[in-house]
Amino acid sequence: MEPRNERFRRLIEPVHDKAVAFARCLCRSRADGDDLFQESVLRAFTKLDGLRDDGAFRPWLYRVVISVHRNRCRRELWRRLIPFGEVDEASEAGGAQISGDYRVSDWSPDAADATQRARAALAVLPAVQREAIVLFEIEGWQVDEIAALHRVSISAVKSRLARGRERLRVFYEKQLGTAGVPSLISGDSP
Amino acid sequence: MSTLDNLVTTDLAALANDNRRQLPTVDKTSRSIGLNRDDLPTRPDESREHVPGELVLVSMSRVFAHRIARAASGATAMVCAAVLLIVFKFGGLDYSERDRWWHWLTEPSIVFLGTLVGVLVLGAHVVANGIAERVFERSLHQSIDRDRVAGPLDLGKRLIRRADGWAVVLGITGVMSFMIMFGVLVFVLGGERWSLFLDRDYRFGMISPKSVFTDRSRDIAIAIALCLAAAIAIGRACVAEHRSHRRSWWIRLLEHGTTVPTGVLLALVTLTIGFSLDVGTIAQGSRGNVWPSSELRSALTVSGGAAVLLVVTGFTLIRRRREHERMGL
Repeated sequence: MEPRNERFRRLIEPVHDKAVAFARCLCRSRADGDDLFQESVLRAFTKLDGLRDDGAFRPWLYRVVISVHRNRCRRELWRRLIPFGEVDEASEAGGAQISGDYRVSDWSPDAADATQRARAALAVLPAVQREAIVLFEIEGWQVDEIAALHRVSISAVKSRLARGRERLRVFYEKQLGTAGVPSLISGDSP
Repeated sequence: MSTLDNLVTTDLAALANDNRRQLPTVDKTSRSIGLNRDDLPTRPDESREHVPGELVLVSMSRVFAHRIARAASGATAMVCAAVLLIVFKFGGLDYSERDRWWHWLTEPSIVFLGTLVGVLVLGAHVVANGIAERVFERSLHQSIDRDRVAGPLDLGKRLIRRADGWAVVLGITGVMSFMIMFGVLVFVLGGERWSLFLDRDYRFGMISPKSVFTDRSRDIAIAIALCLAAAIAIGRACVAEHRSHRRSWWIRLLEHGTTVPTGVLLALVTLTIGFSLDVGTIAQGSRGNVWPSSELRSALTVSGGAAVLLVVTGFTLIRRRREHERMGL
C-alpha cells in the first residue's frame, strides 16, 4: 500500500501551482493567500483518508480551500462583531495598508496597478460570488465544473456569475466615474 | 461588451498573472506541513492503535460500574414514583389527614419531595458504583486465580454486556417514571407550581387536590406501565444485538441525532398547551372551575410521556454506543 505522504505528494504536484493562485485570488493579499493555501493543504493532508477516488483530488482540494476560506471569513466577522480578542494593527489603523494588503478604502481612480484594482473589487463580493468569478474568469473552469464543486445547480452558478459581474461593474463605476474609464483603458493614467 | 466590462476583464487577467508569480514550490509546501518528516505517522490516529490492556481494563471497570449505578438509580427512582403514587392515591393529599403516619411525606412542598427523591437516587448511584467496581475487580482476580481460558479483557467485555440490558431498561424507566409522576403532580395539582400545593384551604369553591389526583392516577399508572414496556423492548433489542451482532433499524433510529431534539420539541409543545390549560386546584378569575376535557388531559400525558421517552432513550442509546465504540464491543 502506498504510504500516505507519498500519495499526497503525488496528488498535489500537478495541481499545486493553480491551487496556490486560486487561494491568492480569494484573499486580499498574496501573503494571506499563501497562508490560506498552507492551512488548506494541512487540512487536506489530515483528511486524505476520506478521499477514495484519486481522480477527484483537484475539486476536493479546491473544496477544502473554499471551506477554509469561508471559515476564516466567518471568524473575521465574529472578531469584528465581538472585539474582545486580539486586535491586530490593521484593524486599529482603521483598515490601513499593511504589507500589500489592499482594502476597499485604498481604492482610487489613480490606482495604476490593475492587480490592486481587481483585488479591491473582488473584496466587495460575497464569498460565493467571489469564488464563482475567480473560478470562471481567472481559473477558466466550466460552469458545470463549478456547479459540481459547489454542489449547486448550473443555473445557480450562472446567477452567481451574473450577479458578481454586475457588482464588479457597479463598483468600478462608483469608484472611477464615467470619465476615468477611457483614460485607464488607454493607459494615460499614472 | 462595454468599456467597463473590458476594464474588469483586463484587471482580472492582470490579477491572475500576478498570482502566478513567485509561487512556492511543492517542496516548500510539503516542508511547511511536515510532509517530508520520516517519523510522521501514516495515519493521524495510528499512534493510538496500541493502547495498553491495563488502560482498557480501567475504562471497562468504569463503564461497568456506571452501568450498574445507572440501573440502581433508575430502580430507586421507579420505586420512589410507585411509593408516591400509592401514598397519594390511597393516603394523604388532604390537609386534614395530618394524623396519618405519612403526613410528613405529603405535607411539605413538591420541591421537598423532588429533593428527597433526588437525594435517594444519587445515593443509590454512588453506592452501586462503589459496589460494582469491587465486583469487577473481584471477577478479574478470580479469573486470574482460576486460570480461565478467557482473558481479563474478554471477561470485562462479558460483564459489560451482561449489565447492558439492565442499565438500559432501569435507566429509562427510572427517569421516565420520576418525570411523569412529578410532571403530573406539578401540572394537575399545582395551583401554585413549585410551591406548597397542599397548604391551601380548598373548601370554598375550589377543587380538591385528592379528587384531581385520583382522576389522573389512572393516566400515571398507564403511562408508567407503557414506559416500562417500551424500556423492556429497547433493553431486549440491545441484548439481542450482542448475540446477533446486528443492530435493529428502530434502535438505529432512536440513536439518531435528531431523536433528542424531536423529544425536546414535543415536550415544549406539551408544556405550552399544559400551561395554557392548567387551572390548578385553586380556580381563579373568570375561568372558574371549567376544566379541559379528560381526553385532552390524557393526550397531554401521552405526548409528555412520549417526549420524555424520546429524550431519555436518545441520550441513553447515544451514550451506550459511545461506550461500545470506546471498548471495541
